[in-house]
Amino acid sequence: MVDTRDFAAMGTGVRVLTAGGGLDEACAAVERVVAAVDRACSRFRPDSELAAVQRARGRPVRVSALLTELVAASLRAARMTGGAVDPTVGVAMRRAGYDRDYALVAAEDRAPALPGPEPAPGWRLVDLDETARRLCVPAAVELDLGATAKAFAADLAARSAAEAAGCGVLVSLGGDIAMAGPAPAGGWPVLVAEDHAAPVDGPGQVVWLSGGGLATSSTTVRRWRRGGADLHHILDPRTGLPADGCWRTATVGAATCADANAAATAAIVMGDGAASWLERHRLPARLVERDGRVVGVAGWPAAGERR
Amino acid sequence: MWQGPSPAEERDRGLRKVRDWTAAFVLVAAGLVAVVAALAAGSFPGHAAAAAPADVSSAGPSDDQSPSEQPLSPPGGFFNPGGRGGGRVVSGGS
Repeated sequence: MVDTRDFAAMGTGVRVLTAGGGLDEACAAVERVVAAVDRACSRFRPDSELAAVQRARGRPVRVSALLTELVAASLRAARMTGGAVDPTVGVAMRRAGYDRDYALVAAEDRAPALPGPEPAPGWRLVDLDETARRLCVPAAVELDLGATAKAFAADLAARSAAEAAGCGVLVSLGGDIAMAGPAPAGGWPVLVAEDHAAPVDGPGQVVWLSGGGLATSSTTVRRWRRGGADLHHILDPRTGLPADGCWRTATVGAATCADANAAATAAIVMGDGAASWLERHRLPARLVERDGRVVGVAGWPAAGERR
Repeated sequence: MWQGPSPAEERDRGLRKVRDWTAAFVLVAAGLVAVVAALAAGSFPGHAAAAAPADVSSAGPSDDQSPSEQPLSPPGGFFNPGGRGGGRVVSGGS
């Protein structure tokens, strides 16, 4: 018996599934984790820890264990993707107009148009001492942990919820899925689609999963207009502009949601080279070309596509 | 009768003093530089590398990464081929 509950957090939809009761305890644990992550690293909250680090303008700041882990996760994502996922795209994101909660950004088309290309400063400039929990971000660098924090939160929330509920749990934070504890018989049924807000019986592919993480990155959602141009939130750190590769959507399975999400975002940025990179790391992935053609790599199952 | 050092001996002694003072000055200066450098390094932490722009390769990072820098593939049996029924949750962009 699988129980389900939905709520909103971190500016997105949250869905919690439990296999064997304990839904109340699981949801309470998820809400605690999500609230803590938001307080630690939101770009849009002046009272967040990350905002305090930015205000220090290059001076080292002692930070919480949670923010240490979040920044470490973002730097790990940068290292393992060769910089395709880079937390120093904060200024580029702001230049693109994504400087407030997405609902506000999407509601208006502001001038001027997007300026020319400008590379992100680079993740190597971020100085994190994990032992001393000291973080130093140069004054000209703005961190945006949006590409990794939600997936990291999903992993943390799933583990915490499974412990609280005493059974298997699946947590979806805006389509970033983490599983912990034993899966129900037959696996967790997941529809893979372009938009996490799509109906569960809509087009896409249904897969049944046993554990680990699954994440989707897509250029078809979280879009807005700036100076008459259509933009999306997956920036290429080489240019500071929205990624313009051959894939519009990438779904990746990995041991954790954090790794799955980093790989999915990297696939969008890498473009042509993504399939071989995913194969090399044995990360099963479903890639959708701009024209909608679906390509499965590294053992992604062919069955179950729904039109 | 002892007549004191000759002018040549006086000159040699003077030169030795100059040499010794120069060596001592160089040693003290080097020590001070080391101390100041250590204090500066502790006060202003450095970075792992120069401020190079993002090094994204279209083929991804090289294979000589340490294991902790590689994405971890999913657990065995990640996909359950025996699953039935529709999705209960959606993985999609957000």
